[in-house]
Amino acid sequence: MPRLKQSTQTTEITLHPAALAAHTWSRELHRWFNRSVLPETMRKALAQQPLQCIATPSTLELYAPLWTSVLWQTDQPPIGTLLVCLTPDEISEVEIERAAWVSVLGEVFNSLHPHAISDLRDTLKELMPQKLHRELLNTKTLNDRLICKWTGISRPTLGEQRRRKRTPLRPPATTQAIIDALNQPWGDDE
Amino acid sequence: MSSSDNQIDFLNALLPEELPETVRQTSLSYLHHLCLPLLQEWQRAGDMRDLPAEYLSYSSQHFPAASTDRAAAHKTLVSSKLLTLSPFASALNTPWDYLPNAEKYEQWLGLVILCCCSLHIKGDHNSAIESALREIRLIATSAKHKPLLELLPPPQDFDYLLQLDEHLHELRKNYLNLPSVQQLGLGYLAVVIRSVARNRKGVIRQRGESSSPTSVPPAPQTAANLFVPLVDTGVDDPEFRIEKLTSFSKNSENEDEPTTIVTSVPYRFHDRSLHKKEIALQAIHSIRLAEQMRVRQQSLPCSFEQASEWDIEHLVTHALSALTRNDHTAGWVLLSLLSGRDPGWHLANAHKVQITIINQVPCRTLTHQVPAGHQPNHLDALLPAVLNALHLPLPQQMTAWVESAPLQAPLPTAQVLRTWLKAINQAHSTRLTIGRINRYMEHWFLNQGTDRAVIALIRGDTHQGRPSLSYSHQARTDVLAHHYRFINAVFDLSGQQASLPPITAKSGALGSRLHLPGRVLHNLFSVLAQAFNLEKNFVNFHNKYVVYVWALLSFVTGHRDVNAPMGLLSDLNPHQQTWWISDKERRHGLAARTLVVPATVIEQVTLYKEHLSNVASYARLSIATVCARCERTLSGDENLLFFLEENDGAIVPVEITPSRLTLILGEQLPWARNWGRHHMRSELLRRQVSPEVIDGWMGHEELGEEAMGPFSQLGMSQLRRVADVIQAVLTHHEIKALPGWKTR
Repeated sequence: MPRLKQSTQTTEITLHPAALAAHTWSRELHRWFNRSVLPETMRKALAQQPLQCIATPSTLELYAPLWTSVLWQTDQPPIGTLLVCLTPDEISEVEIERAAWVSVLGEVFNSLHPHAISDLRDTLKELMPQKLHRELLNTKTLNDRLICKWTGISRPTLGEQRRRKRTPLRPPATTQAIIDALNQPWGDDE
Repeated sequence: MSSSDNQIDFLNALLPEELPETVRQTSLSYLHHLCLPLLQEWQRAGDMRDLPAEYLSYSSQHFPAASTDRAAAHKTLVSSKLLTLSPFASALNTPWDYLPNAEKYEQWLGLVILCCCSLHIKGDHNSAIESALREIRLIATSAKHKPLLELLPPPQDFDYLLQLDEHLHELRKNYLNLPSVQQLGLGYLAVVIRSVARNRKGVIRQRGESSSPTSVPPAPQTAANLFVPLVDTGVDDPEFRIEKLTSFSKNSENEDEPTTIVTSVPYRFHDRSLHKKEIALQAIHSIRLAEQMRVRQQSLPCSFEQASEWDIEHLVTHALSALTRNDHTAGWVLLSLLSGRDPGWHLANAHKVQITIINQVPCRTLTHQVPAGHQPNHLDALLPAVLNALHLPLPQQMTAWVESAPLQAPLPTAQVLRTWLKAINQAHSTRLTIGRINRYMEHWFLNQGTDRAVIALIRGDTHQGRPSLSYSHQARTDVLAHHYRFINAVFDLSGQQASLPPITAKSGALGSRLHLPGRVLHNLFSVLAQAFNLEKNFVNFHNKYVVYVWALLSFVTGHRDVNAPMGLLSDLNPHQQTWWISDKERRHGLAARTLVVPATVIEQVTLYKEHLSNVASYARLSIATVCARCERTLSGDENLLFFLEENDGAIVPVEITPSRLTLILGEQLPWARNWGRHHMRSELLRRQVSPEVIDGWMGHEELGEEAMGPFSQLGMSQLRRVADVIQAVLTHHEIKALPGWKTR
């Protein structure tokens, strides 16, 4: 049975290893809202969402939801945050991984920046295990057709996003390129 | 206390019990065998009577059986690092048998040890004792000190210590050209012998408040407790006289000091045997020193140590008149005045100074090179060129003298110069000396507010002697203008015309090449900004963003290229816009300074703090070390700027060092990382900021120039003016504060 706790000053929460891939995927995506500039009261209220953790003898290992950590003021959740704790015997690694992915997918689907749709598709394909693709998305891997259907954007738009990403500007690298860049005409100089 | 107890105390003080027992025994045994016969001889002559002979008698009653292996004892002292624990033990056990003049050395060793024992009993001679014993030991063990033994006379040739003292005194006067090590060593030996021979008092030296807690503070030697008994006993000695200036009740001496003001009891004390430098004389010397310091610090038109206008007027008149008679010395004196250097300097620096005719104009040509004046060829398109030579025209009246190739002829000696000046001094009541003439130019320039770097350039100083010289990019015409103003000023004093050639508008600069043209400065920050803006990986982004922040902050504050640049976040006061900069090895050294920073810096630091918050959010849960480092930086507990490195798959924060900066910067900064100091100094000068304020801003503080010192008149308003000028530079070149990483 899950046990309920409230975080205190001495609470120490780390990330569960099975949730690392989901967390890494989620933090790289560009959101529509900039959560770091939300009002303090709003950030605090959102940060106090209940957290699901695995209780080990030395620490609490968080696996869902993962997105609230962005809003914490320190490396621990606000004091008084509700913690739903299970023991390793009560939930398997596979279930933890699934719960972590569900948590981040739900948050990303609600707040992703429209320009980052191709990122979502490409990175999810790389990082989320195939069995979870099948289980959660009902497909072998997330494809363009599906993502266009879910978001309502056209495939050429998706292609355009991908093209921009593939051909980024590169800073000058060689000595001569840098000297040329430094020697560009500017203003009233010479 | 019995005599035996005194002896034990005496020997324990000489040879502390912390020494290994074998070393003590050997030392005691040798002290007895070497010194006791010598002491008896000297005491027969009347010397060292205060050293009881029984003190040196080795008694097996108090100490166990002795060893005599001094070489082994010396080895023990060296291997246990105890050579400095007891100077006596170290000297006594010095191996000297292999010395060519061993017998003489042993005589001297015995004499020095006896003198030191005698001084030890007198007290307050610790420094002299340690120095003399160390010297006698080094004579046997160090090749540098060994030749001194040859100079020393055999001590048995003298009947009395006073004779030996006189001889050593003459010896020191006659051998002034000895290497300094030997001169000092001779002095150390002579001091102990003189102190014993003349029964000299010791010196008590106190170092501030940090005297040893076990040492008893010396009793205050007030006039009352020293001299009253002597007055009462009626000592009648012409060398030693005490006068009581007012009468008072004897009982009042035994009472506590009254709470109300009462008439004091003044004594006048005359002791001619005391050191000649009495308080009044010390006070006069202090006043003189204060005046000299004032001159150097403020460079006032002062009446001492600097030639006056009256002096210079007559000097120039007399020299020009003498030049018409082909007086060789007059040319050198005039050159000394106009170059700020004495004739000998020109000869010693013939490799970088020439006195020649160029385009029919007499000239003093200086070679001037600084490290930043040399840059790789591929930077020629970016950096301004500099000249390596500066031609400083001399007055037309010196043409004939310059044509005579003065550097090829013998220089006038100091005596000749003095005689030459004496004629003017006597005729016009001037006080000219060659020193005052040499110094006049620098004083004159300082009084005009001229940059010290320009003065150094005209005088032909090296950049090692004047650090600001190596940072300066100086227009040739500006330097010439200063030179012309000085020559015209001194010639105007005597109503003469220097007839200098007009300054051509030909461009050219001297010194450092790191004064970037406007486009290069703008483009440099654009390139650095572009580097991090295009980066997707957060580690690379952070590192390149930190490089941009470092470049902006170090440029604006003139920060040196050191480890952990910009220090802590708490060094910045965002409300007053001041930043405490400490960019030398010692965090609280003289080069540390507080600067007012422009608004762009405050904005950049605010954005950098946001960057750190966002990086902390990003790294939370997954990269705990990075998150913790960001938080410690934001709380001011760790250095403001840091890089991230991947180490065995883990990302770790690392401090900024010059080598790491080089690695991250790559080719983006193709010149020295302290370019900002070079550029900003020249730029601030160009924008009419006072040179002294710039030197303070850069942390170039030398004697008499402490911008942040307690007597400095530098105000916040001047630093704010510097900040305003720097802000104008940033605005003009569109150098902006930029945001960093965003975790949305």
